Amino acid sequence: MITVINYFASGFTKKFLCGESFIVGWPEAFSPHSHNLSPAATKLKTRTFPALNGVRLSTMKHATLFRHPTLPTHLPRPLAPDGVKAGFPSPAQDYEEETLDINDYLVRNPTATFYVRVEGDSMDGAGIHHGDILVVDRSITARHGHIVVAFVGSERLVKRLSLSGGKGMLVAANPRYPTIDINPEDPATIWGVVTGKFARIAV
Amino acid sequence: MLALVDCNNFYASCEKLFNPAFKDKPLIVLSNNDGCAVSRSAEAKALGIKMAGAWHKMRDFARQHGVIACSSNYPLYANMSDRVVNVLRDYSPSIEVYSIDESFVDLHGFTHLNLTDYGQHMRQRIARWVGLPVCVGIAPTKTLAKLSNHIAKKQMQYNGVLNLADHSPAEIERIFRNIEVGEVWGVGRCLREKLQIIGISTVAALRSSDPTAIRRRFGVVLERTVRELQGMVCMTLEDAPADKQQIISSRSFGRPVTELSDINEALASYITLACEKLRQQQTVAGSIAIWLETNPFNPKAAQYSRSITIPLPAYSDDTRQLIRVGLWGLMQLYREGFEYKKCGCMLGTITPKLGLDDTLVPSNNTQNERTIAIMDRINRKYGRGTLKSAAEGSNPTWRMRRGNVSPAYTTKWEELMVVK
Repeated sequence: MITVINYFASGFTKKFLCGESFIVGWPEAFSPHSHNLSPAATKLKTRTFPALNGVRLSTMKHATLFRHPTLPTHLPRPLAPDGVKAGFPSPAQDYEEETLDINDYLVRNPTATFYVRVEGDSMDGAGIHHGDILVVDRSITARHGHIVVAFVGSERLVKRLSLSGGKGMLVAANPRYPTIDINPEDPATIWGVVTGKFARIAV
Repeated sequence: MLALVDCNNFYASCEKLFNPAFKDKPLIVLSNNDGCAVSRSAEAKALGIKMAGAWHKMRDFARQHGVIACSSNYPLYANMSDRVVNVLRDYSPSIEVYSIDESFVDLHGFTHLNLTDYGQHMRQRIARWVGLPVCVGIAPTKTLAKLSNHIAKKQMQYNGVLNLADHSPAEIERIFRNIEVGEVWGVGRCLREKLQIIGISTVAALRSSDPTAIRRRFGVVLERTVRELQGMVCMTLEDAPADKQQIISSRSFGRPVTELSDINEALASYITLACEKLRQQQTVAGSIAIWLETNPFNPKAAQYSRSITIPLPAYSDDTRQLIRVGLWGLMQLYREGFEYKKCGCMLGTITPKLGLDDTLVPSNNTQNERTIAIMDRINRKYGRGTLKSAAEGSNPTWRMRRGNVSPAYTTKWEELMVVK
């Protein structure tokens, strides 16, 4: 992309820093608002000044200044799909697929995804254990049977949501924990829906 | 048409989202060093707590009314802000992120849509996905969108979204007649008083004034504001922000500091931060300015305040080199016997790195460049400050006071929200 620096009004001057690099052209050749060079510009005589140091540009009336397009310093290295080999081409060449990424597996909607850590054994029966990290997606509407993160009073809970006959309950997956009645209409109660879990294993 | 999407009480709302104990409680977020309130929940506003109110003056009042005071948790706010912007990117190809809690969304050409519904959709999606309340102002110009947003926030009947196009000119006139001129974007307190003297005290009055007369009296900036209020676009959407021409990093110390060695550490860490930003935008700096000052609000203490600008022998983005130069500058400024409150640095003469030839950035720096690149990579992966210059010190006592900072819920594995 080329950023338009300025148009010349008469008497315009700008001190240029050593090393600033510009293309100087004429206004009609550039579309003023598009930030892009118009096709006509390619035909134009453009001049690049690699190091304009304090040049008074007021003498160049009607010229338009564009900042030289900056390129990223780290260009992505092109993958050589065939490798660089002199011998027989790989028979797997046409079958290459992306390597697995755990993010793709666990996270559907990164913008709405948060991670939380489990404490205690109230969800042991659902395979959610102390120390596990849960993937919580706020964009999913909680339905009956979903495991949810919920705020009840001043507590942050993870429980299975049970909805029936307009009533809501948070049910633990461990008989030692009581069931909690909630108001399913209160949007503040259900914080998000649990869509995955992961943990590290000490080695 | 464009929309201004602005988060309500942004920092306070972020704090409330992760802590059920804060529900329905008055909550304020304090500035760096827990100095004053920079964000207030609706309940705190209802108690009459003022923006920028000094914390040490309201501590007793806060205790009496059960006000929760949180230190600012910028890693959390930055992450939540990114999420809001991410949601908005689904609504328009062109967005100007105006501040941490406000974005302009270009709705130009979306004539096939009911923009009020579209705004409502954004608002509800941000509330659900990100968990933050926002208001939306929709109008033909930035100034009007800002104003609509303000009205949507204050007046419940709009349900968080005000699209000016939904209202007839007579209705708009009536709405604007009831809003004080100081609420207009760019009209500060000083300007407001001057306008009131000549009888312009409402938005409606400013809008119906003659732009040329305004220009003669107040200058071109306010003229532009008047024209924008009249519906003429004077400020365009800047969706590709220009590189910063100056990078400033400056902070108050957590306590008064007298020793040069402490200030050295603080300055080194500010320069490190500034250099990280410099490299992020792929630029180099040609000069560095350093300043040092005592606390001007403490009338009993002896006052001292100096600054120095040092041109660099060659453009640089090397943290270690800039620290060397910066610390030399600090040595020139420092005088014994003062209680210092603040120091800072500003990188200037900033230029894109690409396109500089070798005489300007000496090429024998490849080794240094690699070192810095590796430091950046390690710090990105394992968190800021994992690898740092020894000049920053290891056990800073000058660090900001952040007495009650919430966990980095979204940026540190060790600080995730805990559920039971």
